Amino acid sequence: MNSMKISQIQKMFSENPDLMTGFYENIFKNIESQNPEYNSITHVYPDIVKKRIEELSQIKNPHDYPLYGVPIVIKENIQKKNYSVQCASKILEGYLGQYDSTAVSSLEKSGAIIIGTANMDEFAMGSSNEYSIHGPVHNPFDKKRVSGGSSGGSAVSCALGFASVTLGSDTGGSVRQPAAFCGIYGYKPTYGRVSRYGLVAYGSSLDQISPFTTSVDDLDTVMKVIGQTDPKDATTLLHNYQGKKACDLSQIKVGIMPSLWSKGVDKSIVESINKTIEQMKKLGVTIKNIDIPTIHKCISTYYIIASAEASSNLARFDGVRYGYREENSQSIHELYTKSRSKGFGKEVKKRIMLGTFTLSQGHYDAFYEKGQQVRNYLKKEIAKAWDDVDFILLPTTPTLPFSIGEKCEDTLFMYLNDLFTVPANLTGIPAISCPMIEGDKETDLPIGLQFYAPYNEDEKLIGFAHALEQKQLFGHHRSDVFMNQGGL
Amino acid sequence: MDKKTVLQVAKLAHLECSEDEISYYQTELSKIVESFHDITNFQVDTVDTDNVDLTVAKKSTEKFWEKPENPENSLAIEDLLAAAPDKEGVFIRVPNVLDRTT
Repeated sequence: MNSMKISQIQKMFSENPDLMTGFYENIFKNIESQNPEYNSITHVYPDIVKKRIEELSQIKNPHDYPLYGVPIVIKENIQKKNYSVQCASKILEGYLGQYDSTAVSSLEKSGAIIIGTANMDEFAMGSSNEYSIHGPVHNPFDKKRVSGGSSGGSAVSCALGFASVTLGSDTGGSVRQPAAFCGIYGYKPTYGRVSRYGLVAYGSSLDQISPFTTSVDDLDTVMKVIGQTDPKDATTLLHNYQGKKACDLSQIKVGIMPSLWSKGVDKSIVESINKTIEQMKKLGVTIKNIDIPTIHKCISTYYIIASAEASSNLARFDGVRYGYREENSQSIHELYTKSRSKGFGKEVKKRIMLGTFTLSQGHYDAFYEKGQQVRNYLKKEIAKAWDDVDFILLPTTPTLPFSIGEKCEDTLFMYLNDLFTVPANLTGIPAISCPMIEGDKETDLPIGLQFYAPYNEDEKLIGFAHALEQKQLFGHHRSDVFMNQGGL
Repeated sequence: MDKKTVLQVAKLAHLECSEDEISYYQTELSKIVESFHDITNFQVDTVDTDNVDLTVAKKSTEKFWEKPENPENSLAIEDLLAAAPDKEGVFIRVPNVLDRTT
């Protein structure tokens, strides 16, 4: 059941490894019966899992492995040898991982079992998980609605209990936004905290492998495993994640920007935030109004920089070394062009076109260079905010999960959905989306609340979220629904 | 955004466009680029960004940028070739690189 935490699974299997076989049979049965409705998983690997269980059963000191026997699902853009790394794109049809990403190696060294891969928006470009060669992912609270994206498959797999932890990637909110839509925790670490080695690049200066969990303790455990320095990643941070810091709520100051959510944010989300602010005040937290004027420019800045980086990163998909190739091309240039034109989906091509345009002669100064300047200016403004507050509170999303098909042709709506999440990627700071204890009154759909922390303060942020979770501000508000559905 | 610009950008990006796609990109890209005006006019309406530098790299990563690069084989040749759509021996096969018009 979803209420089964990492520590319980680890303890259960450390004491009795023989229980693993039956447990995993149930997980796969459960995925087989439920996945057709939700479409969150793209591939499962029962034979590899069986061998892995045999391997783990031989270990003499299982108590020393923090993730011993813990099931994990990874987004389809993270390398694991012989697992699908299709990135939900036709251009990587049939492509299997050629090596293990550092995050996957770290998880496996700690005893975890990677059971399968998760659906996503093609090359992580999207906010609803509708732009996927595998089809849309359905929200666990209402199957007619979107899961959020781009890591929608990972979010739903975690919410349904297919795995205790799932990995996604967060370039502009792609983990926090689906976490909010699915009623679970989504954590974007400080840029460089988790190695990007083996993550298929979208916007390299923004991407971060990020976990989904159903509790802060689980988040803390998995961050201890994957939040490590890695010489294979040139942007790695130089020290490891140390574990959550104890937090005295009465000493904490939280910054808010009510003017930012006074327009364009669903009423129920605003009400929920205001209620939480009152609850935090009762717990002794000091709330202060702050101002970060440049935050209004974030969506434009993000889409300029991310698309520019994508146009460069996705140049490697050309039909030569892997994936889809258009046959009968007469020259190498024809092969590139035809393979890319038929292999990439509509949204990906649009962002490649946009990035190519903003980097092209005559437009570079007006768009890309200006975007980088605004980004740096924003960084300075946010850094200044830390003189007055410890954390910044924001909604995770401006809306509740919307209906599948309702918005997928509305580009600007989709881009604006990232309004509250992109500043953390542009500035590299850590951010967490926490599931509010109560959902929307009318629909009972989940609502996510987000906190930012200063650069490199991951331990402090997770400690703060843990303190609020202990006070019952967050939680999986419909866990009863999932209790009997989940695999765990 | 005119048709000529769309075709030029598509060429740079190694993408080919049907007439429908050209008109789709004209509309969509114009709409997106138009929405970027809040930052292209940034200097005028809020602050002067002329003296704001472009770098966002973090100080704490500098040590790694300077690390010695020791070459390692992270990928076996057979694994690399296994993923290739067409191959011959230890080579990946592609059509002519220099075509007759080159």
